[in-house]
Amino acid sequence: MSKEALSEQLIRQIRAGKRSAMDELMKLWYQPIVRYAWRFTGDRHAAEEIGQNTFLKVFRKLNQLKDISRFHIWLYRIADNQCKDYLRRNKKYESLDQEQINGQPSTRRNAQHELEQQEQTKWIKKALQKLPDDQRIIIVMKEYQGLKFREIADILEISENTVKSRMYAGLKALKKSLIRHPHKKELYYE
Amino acid sequence: MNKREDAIIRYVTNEMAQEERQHFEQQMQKDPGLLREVGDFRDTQEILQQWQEPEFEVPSFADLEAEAPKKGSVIQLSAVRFPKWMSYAAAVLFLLGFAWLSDLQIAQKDNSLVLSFGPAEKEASYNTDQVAQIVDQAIARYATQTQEQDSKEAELNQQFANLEKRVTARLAALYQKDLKEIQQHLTDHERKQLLATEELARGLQFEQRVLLQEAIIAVLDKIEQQRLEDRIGLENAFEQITTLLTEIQSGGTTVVDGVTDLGVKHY
Repeated sequence: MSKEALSEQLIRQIRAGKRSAMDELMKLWYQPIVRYAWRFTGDRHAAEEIGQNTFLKVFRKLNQLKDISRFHIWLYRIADNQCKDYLRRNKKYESLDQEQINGQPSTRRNAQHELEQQEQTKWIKKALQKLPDDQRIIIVMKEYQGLKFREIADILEISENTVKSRMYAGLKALKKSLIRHPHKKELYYE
Repeated sequence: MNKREDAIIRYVTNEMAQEERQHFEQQMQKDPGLLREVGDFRDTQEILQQWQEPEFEVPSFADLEAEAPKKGSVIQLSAVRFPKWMSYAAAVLFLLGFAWLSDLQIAQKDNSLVLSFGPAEKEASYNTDQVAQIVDQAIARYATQTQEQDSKEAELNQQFANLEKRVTARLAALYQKDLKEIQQHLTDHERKQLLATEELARGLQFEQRVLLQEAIIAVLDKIEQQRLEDRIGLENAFEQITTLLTEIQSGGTTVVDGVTDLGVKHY
């Protein structure tokens, strides 16, 4: 069963009053949403806060969702608004510590390799930081969340052509900053 | 975004149908520039994938619920709102159920309804005329309430219609403001051309008028993109305007020359 179909089933159960279905729905969507927020804000704590706020809003407003087959679109739209709110309230992409960049504390033995990984991550992140918000959001949705152009257009309430043109512009800009970077060779041939 | 860019972006993001994909790959073999551009995009995507994602602990709904008051929100599990009549129906069903489960007796004696519950001395009688009167009063009350609801609904509809008028008027005002803004960005020559375009638009075929309207919207869009300093957006707006104008021109009119100038000269 697809994730979307399973979500529909869970929403029906939630509407019928089954509390455990809420946990199931969160298990299904919490990670993607928090990861999306993490890529977008660059801050682990902010991402977790955005994730929680998103689901609070989802459960509060779930009865207002008319077409439950479009739940994931609605969910991402809420998360996206939460991310934008966060960026409005805070200076975007504040400098991060290493744990935030990698997302989890270091466990690798090879310190040198780990250092290189961290350097590469920093570099990718920096390149994404340079993009305008409207391009970064689409790159994150497409490259990391695997959403279709049609879905992104629905979430952001813009045309599919605009999504594609921002994606194109974003990738073009990233190409300039990523491929010209001195770490490029290490990345490819390590 | 032109067709080539559209194809590239759909190809590298795997949003191209199999047949078109094969055709595109053949094109790449013939066009080294295209091949290089696609290769660069693929490399960029590959690099992006090296930014590993962390695992986040999924909170339970109970955790979230505990957080809710701190965040000033309340989660209500009840998602379904029942209409009012259902509560009355539920009350009647409850009474019937109660009557069935208990020893409540309902009987008619002469001109009276007799309700008895428990020992006989608790028996109470109601005159059927009185009952009929109560029922009539209830129906009349219901009718009044319904009328009130209907008039409230009519009032709301009226309010909505008024609001719609105000919004439409506001939008029209904003459109005028946009036009003024456009004119601020134009040279005298371009302004004259725009006015001439609007004047001549009256002589266009319906379809051409629609296209022209779209072109004007694209001009507005262009101004907005300029305001946002969105260069890509600007480029898109140019392209859109040019495409639309070409379409209008193919309809056999020279009206659009002015707008073409608007689209290209200014930036």
